[in-house]
Amino acid sequence: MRVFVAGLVHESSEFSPIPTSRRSFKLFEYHRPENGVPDDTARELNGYGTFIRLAEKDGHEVYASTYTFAQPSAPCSRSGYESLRNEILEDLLNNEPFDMVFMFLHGSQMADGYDDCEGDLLRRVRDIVGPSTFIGGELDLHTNMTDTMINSANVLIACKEYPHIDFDERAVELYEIGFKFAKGEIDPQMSFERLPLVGMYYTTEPAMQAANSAVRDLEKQTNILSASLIHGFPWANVPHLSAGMLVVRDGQKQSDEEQIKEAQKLFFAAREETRSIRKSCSDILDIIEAADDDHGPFVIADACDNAGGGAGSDSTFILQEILNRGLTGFVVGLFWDPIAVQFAEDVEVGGKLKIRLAGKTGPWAGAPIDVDAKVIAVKKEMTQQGLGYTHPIGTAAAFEIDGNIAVASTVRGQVFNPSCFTDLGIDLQAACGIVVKSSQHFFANFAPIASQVLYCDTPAMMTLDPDPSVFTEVARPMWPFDDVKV
Amino acid sequence: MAGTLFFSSLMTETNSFSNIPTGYGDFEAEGIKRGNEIFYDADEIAYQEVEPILAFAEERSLKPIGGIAASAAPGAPVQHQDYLQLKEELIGSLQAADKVEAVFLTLHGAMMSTECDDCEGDILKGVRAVVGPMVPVGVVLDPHAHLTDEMIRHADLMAFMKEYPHTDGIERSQEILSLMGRLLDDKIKPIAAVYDCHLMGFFPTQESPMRDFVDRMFWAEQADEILSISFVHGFPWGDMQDAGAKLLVYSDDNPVAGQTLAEKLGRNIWSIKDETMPPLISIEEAIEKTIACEHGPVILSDIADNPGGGAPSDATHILEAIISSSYIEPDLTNIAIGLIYDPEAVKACHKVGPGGYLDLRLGGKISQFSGSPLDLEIDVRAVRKNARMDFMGITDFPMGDTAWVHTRGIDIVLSSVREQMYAPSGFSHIGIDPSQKRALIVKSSNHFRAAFEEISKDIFYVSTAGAIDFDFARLPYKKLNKPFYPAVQDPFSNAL
Repeated sequence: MRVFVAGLVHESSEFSPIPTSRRSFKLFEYHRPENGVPDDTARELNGYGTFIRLAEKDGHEVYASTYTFAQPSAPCSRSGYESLRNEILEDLLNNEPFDMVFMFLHGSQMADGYDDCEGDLLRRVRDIVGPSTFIGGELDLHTNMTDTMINSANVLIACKEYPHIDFDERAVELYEIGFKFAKGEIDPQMSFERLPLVGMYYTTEPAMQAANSAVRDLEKQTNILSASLIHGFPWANVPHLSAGMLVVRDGQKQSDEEQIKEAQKLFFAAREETRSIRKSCSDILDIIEAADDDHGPFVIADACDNAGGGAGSDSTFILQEILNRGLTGFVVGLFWDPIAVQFAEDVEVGGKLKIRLAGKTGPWAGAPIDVDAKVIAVKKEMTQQGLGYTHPIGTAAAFEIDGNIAVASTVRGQVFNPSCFTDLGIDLQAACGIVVKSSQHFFANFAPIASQVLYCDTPAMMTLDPDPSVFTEVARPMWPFDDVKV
Repeated sequence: MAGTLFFSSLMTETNSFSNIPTGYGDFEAEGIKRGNEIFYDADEIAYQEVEPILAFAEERSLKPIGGIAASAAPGAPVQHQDYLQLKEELIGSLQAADKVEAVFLTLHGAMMSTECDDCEGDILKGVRAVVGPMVPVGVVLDPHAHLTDEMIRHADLMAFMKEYPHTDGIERSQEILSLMGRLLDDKIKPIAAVYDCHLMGFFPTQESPMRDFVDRMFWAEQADEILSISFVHGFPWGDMQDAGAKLLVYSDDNPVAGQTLAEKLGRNIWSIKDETMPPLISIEEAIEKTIACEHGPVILSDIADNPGGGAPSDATHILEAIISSSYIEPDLTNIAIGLIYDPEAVKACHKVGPGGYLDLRLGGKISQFSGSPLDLEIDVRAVRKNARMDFMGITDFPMGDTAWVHTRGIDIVLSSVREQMYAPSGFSHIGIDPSQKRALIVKSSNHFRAAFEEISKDIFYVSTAGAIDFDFARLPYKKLNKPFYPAVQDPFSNAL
């Protein structure tokens, strides 16, 4: 059989101060195998690589089109999105027919003129391949689902975990369903049950673990091919902003609807969980100040200033509070501040300077901080491992400020890995607190070294208490703006 | 084998009070040239500023050898290791040159490193050690310099540009090269005389009384025994013991005539010291003048934020005041400001492209002297890549990628390279017609005058908080020990 594979991934936040263009994708992750012939690099890429390997193993002919992904930021420019979309569509058109199409997507991608890029892309793919080709889309659970997406693809599957550690497992499931469809063995039908929620839901917490467990049990039903909890993506003022549950049944056969409703109820019941574990900066610092002297490092997630959600990653609320209180022993990073890094390179390690640090991307960043700093480390071409990817950091510089350490980088990205700090020679075990700009993806690598993990709420972009008056397009009632029952 | 004429240039103006570190990368950012690329561009056409050097070489049948030509935007003292690396390149290329018969250098005069207060003296010492006492060493420098004994000892002839804005680099080069020719022919014996004015000041030369003073220097140079006269303005923001205004006279083997003239001209400067600095106006007055303007534009010099003096070029005090006042003053519109150094804002504008809208945080990012960043709703009018600012057809300056954004009747030009607004092309290169504006705010203390005066003569200097403090008595010197005016009313008094 003939299989087409592509990837176009961007989580678009309308609140992000960082514009997006085609170049944003090319600078971050862009791979386009020559003439569509899969190469070793392509086979290792998240999700997309799995489709290729499985298809090759089954002896299919594979056309590997563009795979590209940009750091979450504002909706892409029109020309940027269209050029990336069109190169995939042209590959499809010029090399058809195909029996199966597998797309690795996000689910809340937007662009200038496009509220629903995945719907736009999937619809056009369907127009090209016709009704009998399998179209499968793998999504991030932070999807804002639309009817166009559901009506254009045969099967959509979202990852189940946040942090997203299961893209490859879900890709295997999607491939197997696709192959069965192509052999005429199944007739997948999708339905999406909307749950009017705006929020974030870590699947490492107990109530969400229960919801996920119920969804896995659902999938054991013979006539349910797949079930995904769709978390939604809060930072988009669009009518289809919502959470929900996506079920893929085999044809019109019977399934246990009660069990499906139970799983939805468990998800709904978990809606406050993530928000409720966040504490104010003041409360967190009180906890740390009151702790015994011989505690290991606290890890504090600066969850609202996460580049992984489109934030500027340069807010100063927590560092400012630490300095105001005269606390020492904190390590804070990664601040996106290329100018500060440039100055650190100029004065070199050991050099002292008065520096204006961070607070530069916009109102969500708070005010810049003016401090006397000493440069304690500078390193070029740094990277970190996280979620199966190698993430670029660019050049990073560590500044000692009043007994604390602040780390700035030239590439905007969240902290996935303690190596961001240890690669600069920073001793994390000796720290009193480690503040990481990440909502959740830091968890896997930091929890083992933390005496306690605390999630901090600040007025940065990804606050879970957004101002309802900003969401003019969103369908109401919507939790948490309104009381909602399910 | 024919003899050679060695030429190199190494320049930066060091502001001891600046927070903007200066390293090798800052020299690379402006493009370091080596060897023949110092003289000829990619099309093998000679650069205008080196034509006097090439002409002199040809006249004397010398082969011109280029060592290194490097400059960096003014900032804090150069990281010492980076200074040593650049000096090594210069001295190394001199050592590698064969049969050097004359050395010509263009230096700044106020370059400092984190460990060396007198880089020009240090460089000249290194040059002299290579060529020995018989080879003429001639130098042209910026008048905003610190004149030191070390420089005088090791150079044969130095000319500091007479004009500020510095429009006379070529003429001073011709003058020094001509004197070097006479020295090579053993026709003259230059002897330096220095008079210390004990003065920190600011001395633009377009208007009287400084204009008359410059004319006086030219006139006095006509005397046979006087070879060259320079008024060293000094650079008040360099904290070193030799800082301050001075008079330098080279006589032809006549030290008494030289010293007498130096003192006479020095006293002349002293007598006009309170008239050389243009009056400063407040931001409020600047706004009033803008509103009152009938046929503009009014040109407002943002002197405290001039990158040419080591300031960040992203201070927002004036812009912020104009924006807030614009809500109640409808005539506070049709204004342009530039160049604001904000590389990330420029990148954002390039991404959205012309016609795009942005909520943009702009300016106020580089240092504690920058004021607060401004959160503005802007539309992007135009963007340019690798833009250059043409200066009166003589030369051009790099601005990096630039962007023109508009908010509330105000046009703002953003740059990716920290560069002062030398010329109207800083606005016009991207589509703004500066002559049609009600007011232009230029981040430049004085160099803008030569080109902007063609548009308007209504020029005012605005006093604001910022990195370059013009109240010299207040500057926190640590190394300058001698008494100087205005910190002391009578620094020559014997009682001191």
